[in-house]
Amino acid sequence: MKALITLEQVVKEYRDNGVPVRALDGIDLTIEPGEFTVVAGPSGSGKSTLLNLIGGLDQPTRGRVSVAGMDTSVLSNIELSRMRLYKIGFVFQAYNLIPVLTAYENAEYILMLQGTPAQKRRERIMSLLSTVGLKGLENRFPRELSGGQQQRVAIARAIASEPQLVLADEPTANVDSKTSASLLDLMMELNRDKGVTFLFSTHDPAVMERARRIIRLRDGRIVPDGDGPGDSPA
Amino acid sequence: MLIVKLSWRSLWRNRRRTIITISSIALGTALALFLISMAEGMYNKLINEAVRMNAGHVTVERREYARAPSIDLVVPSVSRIETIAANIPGLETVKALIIGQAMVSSASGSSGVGLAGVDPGIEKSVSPLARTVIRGRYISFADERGVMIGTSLAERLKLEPGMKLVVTVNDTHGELANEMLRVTGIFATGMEEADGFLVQVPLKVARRIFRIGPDEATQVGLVLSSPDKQEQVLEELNALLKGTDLAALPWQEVMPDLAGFMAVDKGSNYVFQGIIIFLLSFTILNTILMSVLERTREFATLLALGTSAFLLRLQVIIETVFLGLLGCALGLGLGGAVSWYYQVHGLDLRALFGDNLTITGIAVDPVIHNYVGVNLVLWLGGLVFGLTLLIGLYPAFKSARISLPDVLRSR
Amino acid sequence: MKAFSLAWRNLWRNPRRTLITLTAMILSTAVLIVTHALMLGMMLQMEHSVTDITVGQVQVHHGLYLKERSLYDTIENWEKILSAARDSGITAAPRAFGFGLLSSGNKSAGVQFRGISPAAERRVSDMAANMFRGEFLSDRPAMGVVLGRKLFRTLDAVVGSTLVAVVQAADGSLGNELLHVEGILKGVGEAFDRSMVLMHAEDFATLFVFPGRFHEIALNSRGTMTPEQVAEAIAAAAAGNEVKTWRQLLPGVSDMLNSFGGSTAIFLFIFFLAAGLGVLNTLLMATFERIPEFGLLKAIGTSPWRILRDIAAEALVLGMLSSSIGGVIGAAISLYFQLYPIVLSGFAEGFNTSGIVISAQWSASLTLRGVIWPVIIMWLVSVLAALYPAAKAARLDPVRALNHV
Repeated sequence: MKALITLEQVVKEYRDNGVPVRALDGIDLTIEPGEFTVVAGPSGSGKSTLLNLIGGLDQPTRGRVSVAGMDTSVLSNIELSRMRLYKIGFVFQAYNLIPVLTAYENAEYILMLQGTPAQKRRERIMSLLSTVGLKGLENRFPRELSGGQQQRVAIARAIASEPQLVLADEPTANVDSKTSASLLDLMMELNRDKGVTFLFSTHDPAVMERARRIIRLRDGRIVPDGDGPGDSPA
Repeated sequence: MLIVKLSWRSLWRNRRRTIITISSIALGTALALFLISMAEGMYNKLINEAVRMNAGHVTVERREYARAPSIDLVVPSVSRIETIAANIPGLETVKALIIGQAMVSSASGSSGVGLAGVDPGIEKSVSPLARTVIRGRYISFADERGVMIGTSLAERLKLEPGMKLVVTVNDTHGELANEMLRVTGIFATGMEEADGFLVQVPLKVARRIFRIGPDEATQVGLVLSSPDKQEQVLEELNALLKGTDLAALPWQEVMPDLAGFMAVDKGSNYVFQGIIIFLLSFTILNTILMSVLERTREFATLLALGTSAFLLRLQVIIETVFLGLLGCALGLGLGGAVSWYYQVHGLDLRALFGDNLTITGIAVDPVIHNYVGVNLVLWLGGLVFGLTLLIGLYPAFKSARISLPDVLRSR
Repeated sequence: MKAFSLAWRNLWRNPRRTLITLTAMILSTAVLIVTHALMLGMMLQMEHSVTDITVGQVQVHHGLYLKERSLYDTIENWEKILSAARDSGITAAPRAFGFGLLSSGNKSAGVQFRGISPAAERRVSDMAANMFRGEFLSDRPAMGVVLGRKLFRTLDAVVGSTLVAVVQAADGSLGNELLHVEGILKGVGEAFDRSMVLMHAEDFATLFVFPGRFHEIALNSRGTMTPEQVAEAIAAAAAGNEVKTWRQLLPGVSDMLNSFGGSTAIFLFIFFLAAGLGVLNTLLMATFERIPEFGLLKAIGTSPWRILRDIAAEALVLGMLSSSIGGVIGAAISLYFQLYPIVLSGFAEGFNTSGIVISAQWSASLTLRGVIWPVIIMWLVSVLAALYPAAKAARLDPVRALNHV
């Protein structure tokens, strides 16, 4: 089977107030379709940078990132934008819902951009919102929802168009542990039932415990398996 | 549709910011409308009074007359012009005039003047001069020897109503003619050209003095009720007068000095209008730019989700369209209402600056009436709306130029 | 002082917002200064068109002359008045007037002869610079005349024409001279254009047999004094004569200027309103955006009073910076338009309406007052616009301020 994501010798450098900082330092990584992978590591280890590169929000300084067979460094801004629209779903730590749209409209947003017919949109979103446990809350605005509910809307938005990959950057960092567990249940369920590939970052040990595959980052490098604390995959 | 919904709701998400921006546009538009309508009002009044006092918006005269005005260049049949003019829509009145040069003498001296033969009845209803009689009364049709003189001429020649004066002219036969007249009244227009150097007599007196036929006059003026029709009337008349030795001229050609003065004064007003519109544009740019720059996080999310830069920019432009439309409508409404109030009631400078503005005659009217025309409202509205759109392009362009990782990371 | 340096650093924490408000204020200040200078320039130009072309700021006559216009009502001690004027740095020109008939071929006109001293006239008025055709009178008497703009048409004369003057001389005899046209003035006023004939005072004396007598002295400080000050300066020397300022001599023209001044003041008020509101809105917006920041300050224990003080300091620093930059820019632009007037229309000549010449060249007039007022107003607006949202923020409880949008 062809790999969904391939990273080869990826290096990413930033300038922080003029001082060069190496956020990623020679990453090699392959992720197959259908995987449920967690990127773990302390803050500043390069998790967000890694996800940004895969999501086409940023470009590597050196090396190659390819997603679904496309090399992101050769894509134009418009092609990157289309890649995000059609292939990737995003879930952010701070939910980042569109504040002026209702839960239903937020989930619908990407389908509308893709030009899906209204009838089909309606069916899919209504069933999706009930899958993520938001039945009856469709017409609420984000500010009328709790943090967990908002993140459920964000997950529904990310998978509504059935993307090949969902990138979630610390999706459970802003919610309590009970909500965190139920969000994780939801994502695993979606991974199992719909075959959606998940790649998400976290520094929460409770989340890591449930991952099928863990990629540990420290100082911009991948730590080989069985070489760090809390290393006990289920 | 989604994008329009998104724009409209985004606008009202930060209500205060939107209200500030709209009020900026509205206030600027209202002030510009007031300023321009005030200037328009002043011009309209100036033109209005000048054409009513002189030879109308459109003047029919002999073709050679403009180049070298002479008393023997007469319109042969005033009644024919009157018949033609009667069919012109928007005509207020037709005034036949005889304008010649004369010397007036009293016991105290003499002075060269312009002598105008006018129809007292018509003059009384249209000419502002007839409203400024300060002593005596205005001449009437029955006055066989009546003459109106201006206040400074009266002062120079020491004349009062009822006193005699002698008018000396070169008549159409080239002979020197004298005529004794009696001062009927004294006017004070506040314009030295009239007050010091113009005398008015009834048409038939002028015809007698200059020896001009009963249906002849040097100029036939058409006063229009609406000046917008001037070009059209001019065209129609000239078509009818084709082949004759008569021509219809606009007031701008009959009174080149006034037209020149207006050109200069309008020039200065354009400068001020330009400045105020510049100020307005800048305020619009500031408020829109600031609101776009404060929303980078929102825009970054949209871009990350796969919204194209084009669509995002379109959203910002549609927001600007809403702002422009609302601001314009509000501004035109507000400015229009205030200007309309002063168009009807007049803005009295004396109330603002005290009574030390002592006023003499029509030249210096302390009451300013604005003039809000439909054209003005349309072009100003179009201009401000167009400007808003144009100005909105830059913030729209800026909106999609964000570094996604930086913005999304920060909280 | 510490508050100000803190304010300065605070301003540059968000350079984009600071730059936007700064440019808005600089621009508005500059625009106000330029507008004020242009309007003042127009007013002064009109007033100067009255005083400088023929009238002068103040005129002295024999007490009866303006009423009677008699050849014999001449000024007492005119030399004394001239020397008093000279001592006060005021330019003065003596003039003698007489009526008569001027003819050219079979055309003739009743005219007013005006005997002048060309050298003095050049100093007092701009007549010599307002020639339509030909030259102004030379300093030596040579029986040359300069005619008014309309008179030369009436007489059908050109530069070089010979004219015949017939007058009743002071001794009762019939004065009779041949005069030749040296120049024609531009339009300067109806009375002047129609009937004025300028000639050398000595030629006038010959024609009217009336040497060493004058009817009018026109005085002009050329902008250094007000008309009232000029009248005051020569009052003692002119005792026994009538001294009048141009506003008293030409009440109609004075009214017209006042009325024009009134509408100009309204225009200016609208401009101040527009600029003030524009800046007010920009600043309000900038400060409102910062309410969460003020909430944070309050949350970490800053007193409301201190927040207010810091914001006031920022507004003052911003106001100071922008109004001084705007002041310099506005003054520079005004000065430019003072030196290089705006050309308003293709017409070379100005236009004369009721004795005021509207020039087609429009120059600005920069004054200290015209810079200081816009600067003060912008300061006030900037502080007010910052304090209102800040006061609101200072009263809010920190949690609400933090989440304020």
